[in-house]
Amino acid sequence: MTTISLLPIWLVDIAGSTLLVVGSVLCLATSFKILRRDEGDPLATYLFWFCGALFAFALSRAVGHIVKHLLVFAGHRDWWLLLAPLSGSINTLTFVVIASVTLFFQRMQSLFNRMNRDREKIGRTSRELLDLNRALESAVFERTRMEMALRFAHDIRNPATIIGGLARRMTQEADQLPAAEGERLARVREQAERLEELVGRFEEVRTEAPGAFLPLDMSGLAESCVELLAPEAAEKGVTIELTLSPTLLLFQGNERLMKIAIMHLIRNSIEACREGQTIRLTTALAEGGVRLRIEDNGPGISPERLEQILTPFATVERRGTGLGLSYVKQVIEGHKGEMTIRSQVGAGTTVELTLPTHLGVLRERELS
Amino acid sequence: MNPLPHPLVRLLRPLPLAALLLLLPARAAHALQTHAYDGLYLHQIAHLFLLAAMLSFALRIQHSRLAVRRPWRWMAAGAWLLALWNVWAFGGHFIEAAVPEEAMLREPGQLVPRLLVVSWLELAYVVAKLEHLLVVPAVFSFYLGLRGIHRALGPSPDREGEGGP
Repeated sequence: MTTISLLPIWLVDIAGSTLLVVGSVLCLATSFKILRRDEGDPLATYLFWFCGALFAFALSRAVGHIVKHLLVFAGHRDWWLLLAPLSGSINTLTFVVIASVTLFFQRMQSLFNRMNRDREKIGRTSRELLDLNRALESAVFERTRMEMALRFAHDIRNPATIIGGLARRMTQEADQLPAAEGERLARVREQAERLEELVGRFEEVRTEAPGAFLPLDMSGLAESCVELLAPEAAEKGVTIELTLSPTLLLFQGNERLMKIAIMHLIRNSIEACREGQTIRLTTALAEGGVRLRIEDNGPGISPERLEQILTPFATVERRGTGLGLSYVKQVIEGHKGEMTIRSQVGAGTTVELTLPTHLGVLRERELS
Repeated sequence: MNPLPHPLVRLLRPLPLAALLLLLPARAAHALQTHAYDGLYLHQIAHLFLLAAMLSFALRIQHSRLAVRRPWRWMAAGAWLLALWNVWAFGGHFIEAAVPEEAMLREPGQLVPRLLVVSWLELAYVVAKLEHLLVVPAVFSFYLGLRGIHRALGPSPDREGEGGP
């Protein structure tokens, strides 16, 4: 029979227990310093609790082991047998605390990460909405300016042309007039021509470039607009379904104007639909261009009403972006695209936007 | 039409019937249960619980952005070591219980007992008792991780104004 001394085990046990206490004290002190930096930080709180439980474990274990050896060494093994369950129970308790704190923190961390992601998403959406609002203000200003210029030009053009024409005719017969009157007539003609020139300049406003045109992806635009309006739809209990084309649907366009137009159409559908109804957005390649279809199973629009809301500058009820469908139509036509609306009362409305993929070519043709 | 209940609810539905069936053949009920091995079993279950938590902690660090930071790599190393120590200690408790009391020999005047080795079990007992070789490095790994996390926070705001004119 072989026997071996248990001295190495005792030595490792006593040295290990001492080092365990030293290490756990260092951990607890460091975690306390971390917690002091930000007492509201969940990570710092977790680390402190973790180290606290680790310290309790190390202390109970070390005390238990050292006391055990001392009692056995002193010949009081029976005393240790009484104390052992207490030491073991404290150890068990500390295991449970360390494990519970760790698992609970991980769950909390997941929730915090999710909250942070949501907060970032809300921030992005807010910034995007702010940009769109600015673009919208700019579009409204541009439209008002254009409308005023057109009305002004329309109202002034005829009288200015008549005055100019009469002044020119009278100038041709000026040799029959005294010199002073001839001079006055020349000044009238000159001012009339300036007025005609002014009218011409106002008319030019109408043909100014609508802004930068860049390659845009119709699916990306639709997705971005749905993301912005999803909370609005969810609040009303309306479902938005998005079916995107697997291929890129590129066309030349002004991103902000297109976004405003598409958002206006989706918002119109949301406002029209009741809880439980659905809006479907589908992007696809169409003949000669890319297409976005927005269909809802809402109450639909009567033919009379449809005609009214598509009339430019007609006084209609303004909701959402504050611009009517006629403006959306103008934006689409400004992109050389086409907007069609089919609606049936009680069955729903379908709007289709088709944008040409060869806009650049069309423009070149126009310029040439 | 009512929606289908949660799968867990469907799974638990037969339980009351099963409990009733189990009660039918019962003869006598012992109001007071003895607790001979409860302490050891509870302690072992706690070891498994801690093992699961440490594995989860280590894997979570390794599969997150924290894995690129050195302090968190120390924390993960500590968690792995503590998980391994749990396995070691879990086996050690069973081995300790299996070694007979008579294997500990203590002659009169002998300060430290000797172990009678009759099978691999006693040798396994010796190895199992060296568990501190794992748990101490685990705690110091945690310390190095925590120290790194604390240093990464930069100087304390309380000390920023220090240094004098």
